[in-house]
Amino acid sequence: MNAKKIASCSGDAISSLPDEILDLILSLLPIRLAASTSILSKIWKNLFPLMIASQHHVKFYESDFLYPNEANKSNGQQNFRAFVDSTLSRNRNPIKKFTLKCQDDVDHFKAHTNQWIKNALERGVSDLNLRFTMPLINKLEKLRKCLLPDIFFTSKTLVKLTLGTGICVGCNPNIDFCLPVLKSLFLYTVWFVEIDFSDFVIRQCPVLEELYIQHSYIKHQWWEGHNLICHPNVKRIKIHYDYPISKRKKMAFNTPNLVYLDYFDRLSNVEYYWANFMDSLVEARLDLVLQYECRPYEYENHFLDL
Amino acid sequence: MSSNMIMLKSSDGASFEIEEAAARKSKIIANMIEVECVDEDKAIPLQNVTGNILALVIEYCNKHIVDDDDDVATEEASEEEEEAKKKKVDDWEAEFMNSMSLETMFELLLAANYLNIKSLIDLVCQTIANNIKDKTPEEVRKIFSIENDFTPEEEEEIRKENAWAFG
Repeated sequence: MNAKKIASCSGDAISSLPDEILDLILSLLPIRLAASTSILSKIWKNLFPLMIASQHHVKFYESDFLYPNEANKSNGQQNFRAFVDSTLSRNRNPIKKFTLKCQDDVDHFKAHTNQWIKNALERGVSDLNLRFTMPLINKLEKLRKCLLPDIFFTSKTLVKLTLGTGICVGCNPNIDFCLPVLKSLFLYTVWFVEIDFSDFVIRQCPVLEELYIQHSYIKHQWWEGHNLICHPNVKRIKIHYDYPISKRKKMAFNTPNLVYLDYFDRLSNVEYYWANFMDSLVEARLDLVLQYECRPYEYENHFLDL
Repeated sequence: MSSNMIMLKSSDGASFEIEEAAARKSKIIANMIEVECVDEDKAIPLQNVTGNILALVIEYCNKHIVDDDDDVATEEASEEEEEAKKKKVDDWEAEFMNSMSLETMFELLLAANYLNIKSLIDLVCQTIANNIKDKTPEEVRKIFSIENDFTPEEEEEIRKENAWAFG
């Protein structure tokens, strides 16, 4: 292709750029704007669907639709949902990485969000990043409606899973769940319902190497914290329990292959600390805030050995 | 750093001398050097790039080869230094892109694509994307002289199909 020729023989130089370049330009635009280029001309009509179909990382950010028209939130929300629906139904290619960031409610979750997640998993996603906030639910009956799809707990392709922020994870009790290739698990203020977390991690994720738990305090939502982290293979752990004060009385790590530990906690009335990683640990960052009720010697026995 | 100089020749016959390290920003030229098909006495002919565009490409490569060297030399540089350096490059790039017309930008993009200079492709694409941002389709058509070849009915159909994008 001759650059000079194009510029001189046609005013429409941008449409003459190679498809992969136009694809790159589209991918740099906010998604709604990228889609609205289909209306420019016949050449542009097919570019957006092509770009979406060729994406390895499928991203859905509700914020793209809520701002800057914050006043009309429900309209933005509707457009966002129509966008996800149409994108997922138009394209059947495998998905490598899937990111969904939105606010959700119970009814919509049950009817749609659940299907979106299922769709991504059925297409063999290996990196799943779900970041939605929901009005917190106290009634178990309602929570059952927010269970993640069964396939979520039996995916043979999930390598990296990120969940947050402020969601409950529930599982159909009859499902025999197992994530055989999951290596990295990131949890941002996630509650588990009807699942024993420690059990989930040790039995269901046999090749897990990296575990990140960040849990922030949310008013009126008390949380005990996972007090037993137990895994034969896990190498990196980061735990940040950001609670004003913890009622937790024990914390135990049974992770004989741990190499890196980053641990932040506010503790009181600790009765039991136990750590099995002394032979493997190479680097540790500990930030433990002692609350007034606490007796410091409790840690000395266990952590100051490090 | 290699101080070998090589010659490049544009489609309209202009010759440019450039440091090998800078020329290696282009994967195509780097490949040619790798397989030793560069004759020291002869210029590399670049049939798809005119002299004025090649001059811009070389300006970009020269600027960025210095930056790459700095990265290696100051691995221990503090965060502020890193930031200041990044800002300097960003400012230079902004000015560089600002100095050219849209037409030149497209020619530069095609040249970067032909020579396979990833960072320059990204820079120009980002600049074009910034030009489109916050514009209505009508405005975009005008800026880039895109002819609307849809009938009003066809256009309406597309608007309906992607209602979420126009709502």
